[in-house]
Amino acid sequence: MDRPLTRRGLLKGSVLFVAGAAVSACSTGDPLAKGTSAPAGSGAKITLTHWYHEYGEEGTQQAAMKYAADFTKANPDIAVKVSWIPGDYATKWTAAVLTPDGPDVYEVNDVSPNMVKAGQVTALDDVLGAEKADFNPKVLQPYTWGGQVYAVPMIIDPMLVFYRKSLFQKAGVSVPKSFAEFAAAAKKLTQGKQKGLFVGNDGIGDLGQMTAWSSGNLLVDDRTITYDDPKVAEALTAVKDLYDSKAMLQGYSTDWWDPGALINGAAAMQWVGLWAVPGLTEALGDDFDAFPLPPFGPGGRAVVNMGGWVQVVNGKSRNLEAAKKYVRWLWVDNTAAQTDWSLAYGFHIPPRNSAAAKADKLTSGPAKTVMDAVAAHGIKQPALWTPEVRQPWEDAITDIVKKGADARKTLAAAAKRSQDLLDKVPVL
Amino acid sequence: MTTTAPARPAAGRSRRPSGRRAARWPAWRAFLLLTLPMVAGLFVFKYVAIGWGFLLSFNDARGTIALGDWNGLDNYRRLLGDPAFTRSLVTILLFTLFIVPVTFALSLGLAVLVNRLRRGRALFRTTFFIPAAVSYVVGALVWKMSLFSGTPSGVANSLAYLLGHDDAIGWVAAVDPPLYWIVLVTVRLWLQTGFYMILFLAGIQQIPAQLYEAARVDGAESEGRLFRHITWPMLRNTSVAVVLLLIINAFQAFDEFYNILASNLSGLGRADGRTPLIYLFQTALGEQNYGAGSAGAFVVTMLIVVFTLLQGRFAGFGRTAEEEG
Repeated sequence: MDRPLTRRGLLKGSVLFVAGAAVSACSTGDPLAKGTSAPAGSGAKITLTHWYHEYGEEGTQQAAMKYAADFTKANPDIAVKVSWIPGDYATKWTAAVLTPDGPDVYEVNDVSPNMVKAGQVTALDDVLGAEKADFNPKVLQPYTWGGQVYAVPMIIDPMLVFYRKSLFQKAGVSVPKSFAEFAAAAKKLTQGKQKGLFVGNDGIGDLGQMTAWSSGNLLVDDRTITYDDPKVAEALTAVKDLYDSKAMLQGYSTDWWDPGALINGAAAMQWVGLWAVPGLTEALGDDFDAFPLPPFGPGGRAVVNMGGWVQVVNGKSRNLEAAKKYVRWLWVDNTAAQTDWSLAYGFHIPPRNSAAAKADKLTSGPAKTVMDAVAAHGIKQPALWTPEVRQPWEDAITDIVKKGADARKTLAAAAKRSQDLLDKVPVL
Repeated sequence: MTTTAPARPAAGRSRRPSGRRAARWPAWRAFLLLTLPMVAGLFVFKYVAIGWGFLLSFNDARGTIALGDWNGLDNYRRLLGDPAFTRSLVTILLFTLFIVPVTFALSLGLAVLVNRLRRGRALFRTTFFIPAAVSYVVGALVWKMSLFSGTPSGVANSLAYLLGHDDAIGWVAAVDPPLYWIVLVTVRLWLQTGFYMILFLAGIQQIPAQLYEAARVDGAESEGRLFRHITWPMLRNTSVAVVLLLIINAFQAFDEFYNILASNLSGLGRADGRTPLIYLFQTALGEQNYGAGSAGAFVVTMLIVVFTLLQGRFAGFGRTAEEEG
C-alpha cells in the first residue's frame, strides 16, 4: 500500500466515506428499538414517538401498533411511531429523556418529584378531564404532586401468592391465615425436588418489603422513614428463618414474574401477578388459586401489592399538544383499546372503574379471587419510596436475611440513611 | 501547515533538508487524513464528555445533565459517606487482588505448556483462545442459567449430587458462604485467560532460542531453572503489560456482575457482589442522580490511576535497559 494518494483517489474515497456515513446515519435513527412501526400514508405533519417496555405476552406489540395506527386513521396529521424496548427499560428511558430527542410518550412505574422538576413529565389533568373521577384513586394518588396528576394509569398489576391446589391437598395444607402458617406451609410443601415457595431467584425478591407491609408498616409515611421499628425487625427475622429453612426456590431458569416454576412444579407457591393467570389456566386448568400475603403478627394486615404501568408525556416534547391528544384518545377515551390491552393478553386490571366493573374475564375463577383480594387488601407503594431512598433498606434486608446481621441495629442505621436521602427529595 | 516545500529547490546549499521535507509532506497529509477523524471523534465523544462529567460532578444534577446547580463537593461527600459505595470499593479491591494473580498464573502456565507442545500447538492455542471471542454477556448467561443454575438439573448441582450432596444449591443467590464468587470468578477466568495466554505466547516466542541452547551448554538442565533464569526475566515487559491490563479490567468489572447477579425487572442485584460500576450505574441511570454518578466515575478513575502508577513503580514499566543501569 505504498501507492501515493492521487487526487482522484482521495475524491473517490471521500465520496464513499460520506455515502457510508449517510447510510449509517439513516439506519441508526432509533438504535434501541427492537421493532418500530411508522404508519403508512406519510401525509402526517407530526410524528410522535411512543415507548413501551417489552411486554412478554404474545400479540401485545401488534396490539400497541394497531392502536397507534387507529389513532392516525382518526387524526391523519399525527403519525405515531411505536418503539418496543427490550431488556433494561428503565435505564434506557432515563437516558433518552435527557436529550431533546427523547420519546414524546412513554410508560413508567413511578413518577418522582425529581422527574417533575426536571420536566421529564408534564401535568395531565386536562388529559384526564372529567373522567378523572372514574380512575381508581388509590392508583392516581402516587402520581399526584402539588395537586396535579402527572400520569394516566394504563394497567394495574396486583401481585400476591399463587399456589397449586393439588399440591396443597396432597401435603394437607390449607390457605394460611398468618405468616407463621405461611412459613409452616412452605416448609411442609418442600419435598424432594419441589420447593415450597418461589419469590425470586435471589431467594428474597419482594418478600422482605411485603412482609414488612404485612406487619402494618409501609416503611415510609409522607416524608418520614418509619421502618426503624421492632415489628419490622421481627418480620425480617421471620423471613430469615424461612430463608434458612431451605423451603425457597433459588436460581430457577425464569424469574418470579414468570409462572414457569409453579407450572413445572418446581415450587408449590409463587409470588407473581394477575398477568400470569391466562398462562396458568392454559397449563394447569383450575389447579391453582391465589391468596394475599397473610398478616404478620397481631397488628398486621394482609397484603396485595398493586403495581402497574402508567403513561406519561415528556415535558420536553416538541409536540406536547399532539402527545396529550394521543394519550387522551388511547388511555382515557378509547375504552375498547384499554379493555383489549388489559384482558386479551396477560390479565391486568383496567384502571378505569367502569371498565374494571365490566371486565367479564376477571369475574370468575382465580382472577376473581385476585380481584376480591385487591379490593380488600390492595396496597399501592407510597410515592416517595424512590429507588434512591429504597437502596439502604434493600441492603439491610440482604444483611439481615442472608447474613444474619442484627435486625434492629441494621435497620436503625439504614433508616437514618434513607431519611437523609428522602430529605433531599424536593418538595412540590 | 507552514512546511510547504518550495516549488523548485534552490540550487546549492539548503537542498537536502528541504528536499526531505518536501518528500515527507504527502506522508504527513496521509497521516492527518487518516488520523483526524479518529482524533476528532475521540475529542468530541470522549474528552468533551469526560470534561463535562467532571464539571457535572460538582453539580446537583438530578434528572438533568445541565450544569448550573453547583454544590461543591457534596456529591463526593455523599458517595464516600455511603457505606454501600465504600463497600463496593472494598469488594472490587478484593476481587482485583484475587483475579489478577490467578489469571496471570493460569495464562502464563498455559502459554508455557502450549509452547512446549511438539504437535497440535495451533489446535490448543485456538481452543484456549476461543472463549476470548465470546461476549461477557453470553458467557455470564451460560454460567448463570446452565452451569450454575439453582435447579437440581443444573450442571454444578448435578456434580454436587454425584458427590453426595442431595440438596439443590442456589449458587448465584448464596451469600453465606459466598458461593456466587465461584460463579463470577470462573466465568471471568474462562473468558479472559485465553487472551492473556496469547500475549504470553507471543512474548515467549520472541525469546531467542540461542539463550536456551547456551544455558543448556552451561549445564542448566531442568526446565524449572530454564524458566526461572531465562523465560521469566525475558518476559518482563509482557508480564508488566498483562498485569496492567488485568488491573484495569478488574476495576471496571461490570458485565458479568450485572448479568449474573441482577435480573432486570427486580432491580440491579443486592449489596453482595455490587461493584463500583454497578453502584454508579444504579445511581446515575436508576436513580437519575447524574452528579453523584459522575463523581463516582472520577473516584474509580483515580483508584485505577493510583494502582497503575504503583504497579509501574514496582515493576518498572516503560523503563529502558540503560535507565536501569
